[in-house]
Amino acid sequence: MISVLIVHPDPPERVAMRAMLDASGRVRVVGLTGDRDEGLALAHRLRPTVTLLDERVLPAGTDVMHTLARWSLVIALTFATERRAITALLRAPVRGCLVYGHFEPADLVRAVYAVAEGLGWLSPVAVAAVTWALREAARAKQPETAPRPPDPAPSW
Amino acid sequence: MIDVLIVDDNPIVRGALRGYLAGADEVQVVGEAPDGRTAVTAAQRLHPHVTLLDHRMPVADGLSVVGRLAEHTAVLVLTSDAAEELISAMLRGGASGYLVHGEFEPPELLRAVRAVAAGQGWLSPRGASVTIAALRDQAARAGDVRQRRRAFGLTPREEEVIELLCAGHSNAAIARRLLLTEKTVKNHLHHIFTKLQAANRTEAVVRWSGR
Repeated sequence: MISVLIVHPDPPERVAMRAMLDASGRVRVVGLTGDRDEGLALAHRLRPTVTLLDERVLPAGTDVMHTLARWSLVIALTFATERRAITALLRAPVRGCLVYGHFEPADLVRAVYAVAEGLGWLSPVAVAAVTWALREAARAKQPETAPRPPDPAPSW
Repeated sequence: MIDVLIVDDNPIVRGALRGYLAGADEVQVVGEAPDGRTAVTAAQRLHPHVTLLDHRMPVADGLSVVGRLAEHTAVLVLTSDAAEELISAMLRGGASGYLVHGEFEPPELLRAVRAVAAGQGWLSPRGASVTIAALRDQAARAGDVRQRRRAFGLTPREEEVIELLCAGHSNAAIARRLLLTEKTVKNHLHHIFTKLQAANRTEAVVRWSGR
């Protein structure tokens, strides 16, 4: 069984997520909270295999989030769709990123399976952001093969 | 309608992919190619929304043509090779997604085709973990470079000058760019050389760029 902690601000959403994960038969939800400190305490005490972490409760990249990631594999849940925001989020120690409005309910379960197996999960919009970032870096790193042409003389 | 080009040297795989995609109303297979070179010609001619690209093929493999293909079509790599280096090279080269044979079900292939056609991407769990790791490595390296450079203690103006020097500009060109006199540029360079402990321009460029 894969143990999961859900940290999400909305109680009905939390319950719906738990129902979906429990119904999979391979996941047991061991904790549910909408509170940052309680989430941290639960992660420390229960050491869940995976934590589903809503960015509104605990933003990725904060010290608290880094601490939590020492105890559990984190999947970030976010509303961010802008590529810079997503790549910034993925520089935090997360193993997956589900973007609201861009994943099917079943992806929640698949993401948990993938991350519990040591792999990752990214919503399609997050994939586009990450490949963009890798490509930009590859472009920037390319050595200049020829010296740049001299600057045109200023017109003044 | 999403037009799809299938690139794989194995006719049985091409047939199977055609079969999977035939089940989806909004997808039509507009062409097939058995190698990378034929794929580029087909993509130039057909401009398919999505190209399913294998890697190991005769004549020209997938990686060697991914960049050229990506100019005409969104590329979804579909191969049995799941090496980390290949995944990142394909994505850096222009692929929008990566699926590994045997690790996905037909419905996932369709979702991937739709996502890629819509300008987004699709990665199998292995692909996702490889790219997240690559992104984090990249961030760590960028942090190292910033830290190393900060240790030289250049002023913001001196940093502008050394960046232009690294880009291959002459003193005169740097002066024009920064609206300085050449004499001022030379003064800046003198301070930069001292701080970088460099004897000449080449050494300064090497120290700054870390090459």
